[in-house]
Amino acid sequence: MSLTTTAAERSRRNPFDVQRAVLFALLLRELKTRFGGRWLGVYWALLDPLAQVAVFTVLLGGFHRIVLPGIDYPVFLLTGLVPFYLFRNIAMRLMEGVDSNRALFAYRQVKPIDTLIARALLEIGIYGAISVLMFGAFSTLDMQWWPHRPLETFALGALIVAGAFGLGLCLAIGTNNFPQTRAVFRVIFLILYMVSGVMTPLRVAPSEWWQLLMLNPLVHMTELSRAYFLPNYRVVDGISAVYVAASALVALTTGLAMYHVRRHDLLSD
Amino acid sequence: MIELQSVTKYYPTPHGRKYVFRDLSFRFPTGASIGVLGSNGAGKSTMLRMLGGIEAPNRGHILTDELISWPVGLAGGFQGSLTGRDNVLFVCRMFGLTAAAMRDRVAYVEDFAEIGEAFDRPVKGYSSGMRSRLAFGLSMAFEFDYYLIDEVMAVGDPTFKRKSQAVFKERLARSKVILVSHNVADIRSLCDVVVLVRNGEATLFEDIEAGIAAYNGPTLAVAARKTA
Repeated sequence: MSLTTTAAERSRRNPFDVQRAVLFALLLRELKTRFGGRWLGVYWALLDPLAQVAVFTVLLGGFHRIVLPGIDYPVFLLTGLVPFYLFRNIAMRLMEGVDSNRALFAYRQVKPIDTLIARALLEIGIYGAISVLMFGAFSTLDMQWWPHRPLETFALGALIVAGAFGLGLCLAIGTNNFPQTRAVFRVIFLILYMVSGVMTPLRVAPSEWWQLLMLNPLVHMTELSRAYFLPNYRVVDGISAVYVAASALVALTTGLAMYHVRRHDLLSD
Repeated sequence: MIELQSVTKYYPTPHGRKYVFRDLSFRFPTGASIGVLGSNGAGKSTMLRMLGGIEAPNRGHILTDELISWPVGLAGGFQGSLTGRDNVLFVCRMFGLTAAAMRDRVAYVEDFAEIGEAFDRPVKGYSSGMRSRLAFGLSMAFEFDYYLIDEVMAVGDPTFKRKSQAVFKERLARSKVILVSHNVADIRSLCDVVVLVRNGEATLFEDIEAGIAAYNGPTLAVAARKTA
């Protein structure tokens, strides 16, 4: 048994290389457990949105032809599902990210926030792949597959990621000492799924509820995602990109501040 | 050179802060393998975690220009849901190894640990003996100036102990160790000096036997310090 140590290994790496290597290692580690190490897991991740689009198109397609004339319901649905799921999954996966990687903090290179960044990157990759596949399928079916305002669409994507990352940080740190409270947040996201305009446009809700529903930034996200993607989608007055940006900024600032204060506590078990 | 400069470390508890070290300044002797002795809860593992860069002192600094390993022990280091192989791959990637070097290291650890097909099973199902084989094998696959070893050699069967001692002795020609162990025989055979951790203080004993005597009993300690 002999080992060769390369010269590169003996020389000090610069911080950027270390950070990149750590994120890469964590990303592959997350990839393994995210899909359970099986191809079935990959199919499931892709099939889940496909199945939702199919089921809702069958169930609600007729109703939506009346409410949203001239808009393909599958496109409408997917442009709401992807931002919502991206947001929810980043926030929920981050919430458990510190616990699921605690043993790896034994290596000085690995800090809690690295595991959270790796998790967020993986979700972005997954939803990127889902979008490419699904909108690719739409293009063959002669439906709209490319955003009508691409720049705004991608900027909105960045805001969603920033907001979800901030919220995920808050949840990871806030629930670190009380893991049993995490079930509550999972239920909250189940409710948010119903009231964030994922399945139906905000316009079909009674107009006296709009003000209340619009307190939820996720409503603005799904509505804006559609407005930027579909040329003839009309949003309710008061839907605002500034509100999305402000909420994302608040979440990210709070999350990073909490992390800065509690970063040492997260390391001990 | 490894130096602690007025290091204070405490943990918050419901009854206030529990101090492990208060304003501790200590310089580890250069070029010597160090055995760390101390009773349970004296702060040996905390010191190792600080030297390993996992936990930062609440106040003070730790200065070093050495390449120090992670704390090699039974607790931590392995993600239970991953297989032994995946854990080894993780560490290789973290150190930015090339694919060829990675194959080398994985083969080395697999060969060293001798845990058979368990290498491809999740670590959470390992016995402590298997964990220690994997932990020790993994640390030996990388070269450091200092290895931080926490009790890991005390576990395991005699054959494995002999083998790990032999490999480790060979490695000590180039590297040094900071060894935490209650097994005085390990300290005698691997270390050059002893550091006794007690009541938040660290005392250096250049003479191993004096250190061991001090660790064994307070009355003996006074006598040993006088003669040393």
